[in-house]
Amino acid sequence: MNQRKQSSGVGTWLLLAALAVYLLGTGGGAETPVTYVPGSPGVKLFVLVHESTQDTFELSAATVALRNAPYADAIKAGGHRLEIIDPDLKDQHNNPAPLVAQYQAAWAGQPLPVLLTIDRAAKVVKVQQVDARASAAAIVAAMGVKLP
Amino acid sequence: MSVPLEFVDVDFPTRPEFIAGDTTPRIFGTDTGLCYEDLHASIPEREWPAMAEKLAAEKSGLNYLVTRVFDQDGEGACVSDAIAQGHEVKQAEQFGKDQVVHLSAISLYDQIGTSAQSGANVGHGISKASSVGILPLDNQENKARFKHTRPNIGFRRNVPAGWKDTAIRFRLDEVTPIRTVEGLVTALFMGDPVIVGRSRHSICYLRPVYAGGGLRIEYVNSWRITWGYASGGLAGGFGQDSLSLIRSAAQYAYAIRSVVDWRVAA
Repeated sequence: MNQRKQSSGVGTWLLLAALAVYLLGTGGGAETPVTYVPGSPGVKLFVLVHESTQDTFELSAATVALRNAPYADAIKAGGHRLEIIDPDLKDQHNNPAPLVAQYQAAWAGQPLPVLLTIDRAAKVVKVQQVDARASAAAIVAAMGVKLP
Repeated sequence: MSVPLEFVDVDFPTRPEFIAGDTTPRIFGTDTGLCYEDLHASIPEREWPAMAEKLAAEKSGLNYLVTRVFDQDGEGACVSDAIAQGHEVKQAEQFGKDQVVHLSAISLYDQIGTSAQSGANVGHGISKASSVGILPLDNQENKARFKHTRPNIGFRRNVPAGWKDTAIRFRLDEVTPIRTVEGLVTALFMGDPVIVGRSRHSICYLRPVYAGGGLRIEYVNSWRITWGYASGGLAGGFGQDSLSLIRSAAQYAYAIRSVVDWRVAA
């Protein structure tokens, strides 16, 4: 009887500990990897690939505008995500960043900038040339994202 | 936009918030290698006013990529605060403002300062931020995501073991020295924040503006959000330098052109 009571007490503590970890997290180190590929139907990952040393002033201004209202809000409202990368973006170990490693074949040999549209199956469904002087509005239009 | 004159050409050493933090030599040696002026043709000065106007009208200046104002809180870590700010601005451009991981400036200053008040050299800070990296700030979100975090202040206090494993993920990637005012203004028009030192203080230059009859450059300081004027959707933290101070700053400056992708792919 006593033994059963004791084991039931241990079980309660284990349950509470598991709940605390669930609610409070593990205190670091258990980082969830970034899932680049969209999870829901209709949601897209857009990747604007540009060579920053070749950028025009207009495109540089557009990359900042795209990160602010109303463009960033419109992209987010659709559940989409936009990455703006150099073709030689690196990871911490100086290797090609995951996005570059996975998708560089899609823009290989093409003049930059290009806009990739990637679906939930991680497949590149569209590669569009972007005008070197494109505005943020033009880039969002090329994504098919409607502004409010 | 009218900027209060007290935040134009601020004489840093006369301000109560000032701690001499920038020990950078004012002139580069001859061994800097490739400079911004070699990478990118300088934009002619006659085009600057219209470009500055466009950035202001379309809200596309780098002031709109600042997601918070640093607070060095009496430590001589301005060089590290300015570099960490530049890193965060580039994160915002590459990955989005809602993806920015705020950084611990002191984790960089730990590597380049000799005491809490010693100050440091911009070039040394850039070198360490490029090779060793910077830890995430110890906010709740970061503590849940990363094994090692640090506060923004507290020189060499409670440095977690193995911290370099996390810091390396927040390295600067492409950083280029600047030698001229033309190169500096061009870098800002090309969306690259510029880390400068002037009057023994270091700040992060953001965008050219025209006011008071001439060129000025807006910067974000690291004297908390209650200092300076409002810009880029933030309530404070900003100041402006006019040409004589820009000339002084341009003698030793670095443009941050990219940061590494810190994320772990699924």
